[in-house]
Amino acid sequence: MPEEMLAVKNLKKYFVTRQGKVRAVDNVNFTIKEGETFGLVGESGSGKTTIAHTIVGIHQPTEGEIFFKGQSISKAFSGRPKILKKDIRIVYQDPGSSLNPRRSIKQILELPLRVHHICNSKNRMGKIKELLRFVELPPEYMHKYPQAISGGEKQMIAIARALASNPSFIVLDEPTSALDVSVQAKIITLLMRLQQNLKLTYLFITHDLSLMRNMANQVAIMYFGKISEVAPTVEFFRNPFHPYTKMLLSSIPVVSEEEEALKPKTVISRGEIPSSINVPPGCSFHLRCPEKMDICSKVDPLMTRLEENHFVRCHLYQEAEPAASKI
Amino acid sequence: MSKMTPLLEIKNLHVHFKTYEGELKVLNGVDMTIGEGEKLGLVGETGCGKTTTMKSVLRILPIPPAKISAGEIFYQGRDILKMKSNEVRSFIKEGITAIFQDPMAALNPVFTIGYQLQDIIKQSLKAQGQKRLSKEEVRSRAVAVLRETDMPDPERILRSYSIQLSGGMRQRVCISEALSTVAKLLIADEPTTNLDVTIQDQILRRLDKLVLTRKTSILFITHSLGVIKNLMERVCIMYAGNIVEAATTEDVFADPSHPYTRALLSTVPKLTGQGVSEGIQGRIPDYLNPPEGCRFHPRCNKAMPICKKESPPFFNVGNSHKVACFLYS
Repeated sequence: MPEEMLAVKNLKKYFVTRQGKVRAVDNVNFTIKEGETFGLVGESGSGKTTIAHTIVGIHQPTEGEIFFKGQSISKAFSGRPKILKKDIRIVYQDPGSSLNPRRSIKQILELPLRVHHICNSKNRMGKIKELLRFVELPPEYMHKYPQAISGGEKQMIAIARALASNPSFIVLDEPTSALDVSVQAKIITLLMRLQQNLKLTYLFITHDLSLMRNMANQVAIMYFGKISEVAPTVEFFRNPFHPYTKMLLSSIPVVSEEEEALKPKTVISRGEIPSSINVPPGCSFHLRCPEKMDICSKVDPLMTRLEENHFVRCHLYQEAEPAASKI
Repeated sequence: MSKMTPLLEIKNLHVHFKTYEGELKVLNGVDMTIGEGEKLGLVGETGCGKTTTMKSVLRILPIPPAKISAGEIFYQGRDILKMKSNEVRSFIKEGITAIFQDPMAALNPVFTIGYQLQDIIKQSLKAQGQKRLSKEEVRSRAVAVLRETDMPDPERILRSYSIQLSGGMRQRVCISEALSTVAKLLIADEPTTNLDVTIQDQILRRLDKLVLTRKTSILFITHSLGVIKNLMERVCIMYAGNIVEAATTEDVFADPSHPYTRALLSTVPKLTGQGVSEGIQGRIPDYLNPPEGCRFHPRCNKAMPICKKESPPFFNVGNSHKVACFLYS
């Protein structure tokens, strides 16, 4: 039985703006086991990145707690022990803006090695070469600057930088959404190989469900700051319950007939994510839901367990046993 | 080729860019035709010349640094590239319209949506030689065209600025603008890449329906093969400034022939979950010194000696299925 690596309990993150309070993350629960890839899917503005940032400590949670290897880590970045910063790393979406254009690749990769005392200055060059080998780039690259290399290679460097401090947990915040499919394939294969060789645990954030199908062990769908469905990947795609999940799955453009057969029957998508300040009462999805009932606009549904490890937050399945506290 | 009369015909288009380091040979003989009322998809990776092709057709390519060193573009039988700039305005801008990738950059942030949309409607009427409409009539047309794209509360949208709208709504405004002209050809340059799948689905459905009712031809530029499969009739696959395969959508997906098309299709993550392929070896060539012969040969797993010397012409492999690869010679 793999150990629990990360547990998020009743996590809330609100931002106060001039227009009002934005509930970016609202009561989110999930756990990630060691060696697993946990996928977080959702549209833009659904709070995926806020969760990622809260886990790495960029934001402090408004309420709720995050446990990493059994220890509570709900402190802001400045209050975190260095060992945590070494153990939890993040790869950002846009490698163009996450790498400093005025530092060479060598300098970029050197910094985490120095800060976390990974190796002494004599072995540092060797370690940098090793990191470049991990991401399958030639050692000459260490003298290049980020603007001299392609987008895919920049993302490889960002991954190498994340690996520099020998972390056990990496947050991947849409690492391939800015890249072409052929480059994406290369990076995903690399990430999966690294996970096996270095025993990493990933929190993988994306909005591409087909990619998620090939990458994650568990998938959670986020809508408007809340998780609406969580299940193991195979189960999730074979038997989606939540109307939003069905809508998402049916709107994926696919390339083969076998895939077409896997999609739930067409749910015409309509409407958009509501404004994050004027939250609609009840279930936040009811404005777009094709199976809306009266209760949906009044009461927010609770997380319900439908099958082993399959949880849904929808009034359609509310008669089953409520399990809000279980995940 | 189909019996349809070609609306747009691109012949052997070469576009080079002059830079400090030398001449970038980007487009290397692009051949493409779009029939009347046809839906054509143009697929390729970043940097393969899709947008350059589009800009050449619209005559908005910055010259210099760009240079059209060879080739012809016929629109309704007339060579666009030989027209004078005042002709371009009346001829192309009324006949060809475009939707760009980033709607935020396409809309002016200091004018209301209503101002911009009504301006286009007025210009379009003027170009058709119709008499001017009153303010109210123009406004009601603007409302009608917004409503056509499923826009909620069009009256409010007309009063707002582009920054007040979401990405999906901005893109719908751009589509409305494109549709308020009488254009025969709509060029959509990755109109949904910045949007979420559900919104993408909505916009594409709407676009498809509108194009169908108006019998507009559409050139849909994208790098998402899934979108192409659902919407387009015919596909051109582009690699490093060349069209490498052109066929009907069914043929391309059922029987991809060019090694590049095959590799590209295999890298798309599938819902069936059989894992992701390794990707394509190497990277897009340097346009300063593109490889001799077929531009794909350094990355091709089936490269033959001839591929290094000569650039392949089109070979027919089936009914209206053309492949630029020596494997089929």
